[in-house]
Amino acid sequence: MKSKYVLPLFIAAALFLLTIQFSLVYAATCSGTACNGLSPNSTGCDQSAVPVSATTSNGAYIELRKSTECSTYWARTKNVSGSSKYTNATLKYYYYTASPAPIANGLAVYSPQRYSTSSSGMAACGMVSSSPVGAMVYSPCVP
Amino acid sequence: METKKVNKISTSILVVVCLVVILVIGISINRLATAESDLTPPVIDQPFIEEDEDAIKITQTMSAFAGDQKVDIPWMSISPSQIAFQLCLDTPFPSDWGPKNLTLQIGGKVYTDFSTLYDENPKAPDAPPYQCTLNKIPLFGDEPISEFTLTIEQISDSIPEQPDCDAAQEKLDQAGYAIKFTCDHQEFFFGYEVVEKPAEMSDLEAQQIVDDSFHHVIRGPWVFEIKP
Repeated sequence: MKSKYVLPLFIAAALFLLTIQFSLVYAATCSGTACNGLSPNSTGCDQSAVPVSATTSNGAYIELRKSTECSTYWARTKNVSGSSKYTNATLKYYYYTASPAPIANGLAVYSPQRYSTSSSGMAACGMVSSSPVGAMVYSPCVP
Repeated sequence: METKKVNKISTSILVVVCLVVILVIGISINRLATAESDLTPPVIDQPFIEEDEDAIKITQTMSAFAGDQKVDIPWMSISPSQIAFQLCLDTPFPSDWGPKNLTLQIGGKVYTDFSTLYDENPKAPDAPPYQCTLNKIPLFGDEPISEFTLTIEQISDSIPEQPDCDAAQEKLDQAGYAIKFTCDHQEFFFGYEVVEKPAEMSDLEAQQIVDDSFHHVIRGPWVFEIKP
């Protein structure tokens, strides 16, 4: 292999790999269990989102959300504490999203989604905190 | 000649190693701050409102008005550990309407934390215009409840995961608010930042106005004075 071809080949291969990764993450649609672990937004499932239940607790507004089209569930936590906080949204036993830094009052994070034929067995947990919450949260939860 | 061959092999190995590193970094970035558990989850099957035999029950519908908007409480259950009630209203259009802010005042204590259970599919085009939610307010449970005031401050539908910021900004402009904001759309996160506001307006006030522009809000208050 001539050395002058190495760099262009390397760049082309790197771009190809990055393209594959982005196309996997930003898939337009999903259905059934193929939605598991994916973002409600990048899959378009959030277009039919409704709240199943919600709770306010210690400056966190925690929601269990459902996509009526994809039949998927996810947790969303909004910081309503009045100041910037680390924020965690956990779909109990399945997935969580934790903000890597404090987020301002009024901002929200949401977890990946999980397919289920009913809301039985689904619960959203979350919290806001002055220190990082980089793990699943099991209280407070809703429903 | 031999040195050139060794160089070519080294370069090829370096290229392969770099590609693997890029692949691993890319996968890591895509999974940043989200995680999945391998636990087998138990089924959670507990009622939203737990029955308390000693609870005082009010089954006569109570109503309150704010402007033309009527809000009903068809039933209420009062116990030392919680107050639970159904909240109903004639909605202006099908959406996931529910209480946004409420306060419960018992003596000198004020409670603002509460939970809501929504209708199954409130946004369906054929959803009934009279919609209800179940709500509960946990209490400290350390005092008898002789009378209290329940105030529903606002009723709203929910904010989408990634709101339409252009439409929200237009809404603010049309309403005459001198507020400008920018949005930050990320996977698993939505944020915004107020970049312009009147000097006399606090940051929290401006944030609240922007927040309200992302969804529909009906302002109260609806006040219920209750003597069980």
